[in-house]
Amino acid sequence: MNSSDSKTSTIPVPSGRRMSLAITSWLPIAFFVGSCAICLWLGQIQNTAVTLVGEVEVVEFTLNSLDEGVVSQIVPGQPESRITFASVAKDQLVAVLDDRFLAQRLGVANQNLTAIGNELKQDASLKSETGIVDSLGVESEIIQLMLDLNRLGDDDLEQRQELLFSIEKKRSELGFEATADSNKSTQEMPSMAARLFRQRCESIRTEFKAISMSLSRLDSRTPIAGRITKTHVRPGDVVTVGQPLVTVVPVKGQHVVAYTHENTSITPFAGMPVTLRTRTLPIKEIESIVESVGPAIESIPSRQRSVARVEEWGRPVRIKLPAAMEVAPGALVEILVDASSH
Amino acid sequence: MDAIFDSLMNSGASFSRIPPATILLSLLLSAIVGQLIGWIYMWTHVSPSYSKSFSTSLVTLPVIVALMMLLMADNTAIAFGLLAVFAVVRFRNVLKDTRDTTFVLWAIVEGLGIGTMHFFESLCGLAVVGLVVVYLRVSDFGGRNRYDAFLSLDYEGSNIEERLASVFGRHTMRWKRLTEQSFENTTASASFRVLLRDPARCEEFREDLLQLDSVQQISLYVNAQNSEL
Repeated sequence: MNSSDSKTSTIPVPSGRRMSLAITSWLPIAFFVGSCAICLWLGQIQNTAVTLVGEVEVVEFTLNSLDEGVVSQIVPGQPESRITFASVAKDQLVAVLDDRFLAQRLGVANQNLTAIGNELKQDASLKSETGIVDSLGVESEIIQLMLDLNRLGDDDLEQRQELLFSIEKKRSELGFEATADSNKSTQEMPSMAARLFRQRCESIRTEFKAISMSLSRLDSRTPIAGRITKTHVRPGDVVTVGQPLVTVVPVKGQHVVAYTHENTSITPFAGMPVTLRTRTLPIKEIESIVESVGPAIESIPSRQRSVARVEEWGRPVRIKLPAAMEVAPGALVEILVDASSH
Repeated sequence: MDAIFDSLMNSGASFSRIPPATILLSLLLSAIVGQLIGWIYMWTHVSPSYSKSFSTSLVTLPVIVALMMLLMADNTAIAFGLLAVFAVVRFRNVLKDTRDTTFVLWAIVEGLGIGTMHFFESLCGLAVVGLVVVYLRVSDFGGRNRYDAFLSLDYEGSNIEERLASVFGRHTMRWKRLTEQSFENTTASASFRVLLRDPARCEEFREDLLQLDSVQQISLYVNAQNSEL
């Protein structure tokens, strides 16, 4: 190649400069296109893998008073300062009404029974009614035993067993006597005096039944295991029928309530598979299903919104919380729904 | 490693209610929008006082603002806090360059995010904004590097472009005539912007130009980046 050729030929662009020019020319476009592609991919993920926030349902069980009376104890065996958040087992005694009024009623009924018994001894024509008075005496004894049993704590198991055994024994006696009395009453036509006597006996029996019924309503036992979150009354308070005594909340949640946004791509249905993911460390994931779906769009509770103060709307879904996932009631969990599979 | 990631994801006063995919989508989308704004600004800019750093700030700012909004969400107290911190920084420093302001804002937002226990959002913001800043640096975004040299020459005669075409073809990738001025004594002056094929060989370019008969005097200014022109 001669000098004139070298003067006319195009000088080569150095590879570094070529690269630099290529980068400055094409990198912004590549970045733009790449970012757009990633955004589309992320948007696709958002549409297909919907993540909901659910709250473990808090089932509050408020125990109401079954009878009217004076509260004598709240959660027996627990100091008053430790009652709130105290653990209670299923069927544990949580509130006891004072039984002194019932004991008084029983005393009055027993006095009437004694009077009838004395009358029976004096009047020979009423001799056939001895069985009725005897059975009333047994009933009175049963109620007394029940009162004694009621005054015993849950811890005194041995004495409780003894009393329960005695009550059963008396009841079996009572059943036997009642059968004998009914046999007698069918055989003989009672006199006018006997009929009046029987009426008085019947009124005492009715009183015994009322006392017995009230006695069974003195104790309030929790139907679920959990923790006491609130005590509505204190010992010494007078309560009426249906008045709240204590509120118990189970320690473990059973269901999760979440909301599917009204503009979401998924249509929830009962039986829809979902994945539950805890928000507490260590994070656990577990499969579950939607048990039921609410009928209407509702306002989403602020805790479950993406921005608490901004109102959001959605359809409630109730999801079964598997036993393997131990989450406290009120805790937030994430629910992953694969919208592409529906 | 997973435990560390989990703790970052789940720690803090407010567990991130916004899914990670949404956070990334917001930040990336704001970067795209910022880049579009930057391009539109560059293409529509006509006044001579062009600033490359202003163009890059137009790309970075939407990402930082998006991060700020993710962190503040509905919290007015954080918004006031941010305002107060930014006001304090601005009061003590006169930030002349928009890019400097952007970096100060970025630093404040990151501190705000970490201070309010939004660890994951803050780290996402750090990654995305950092990536955008590096990308802007590598790609020389905002630089008007269509031409990298300024040539002014005096010549005799006319049709200078035809005579220069062979030299320009050899040494430049592209060129553009800016001005041309004729004088009474048959001489003329013209100025060009050129993109040199190899800036290291600009002396050779100058020599080739001087070897042309009609060219009397030349001035060649080569600058690496003329973005601040």
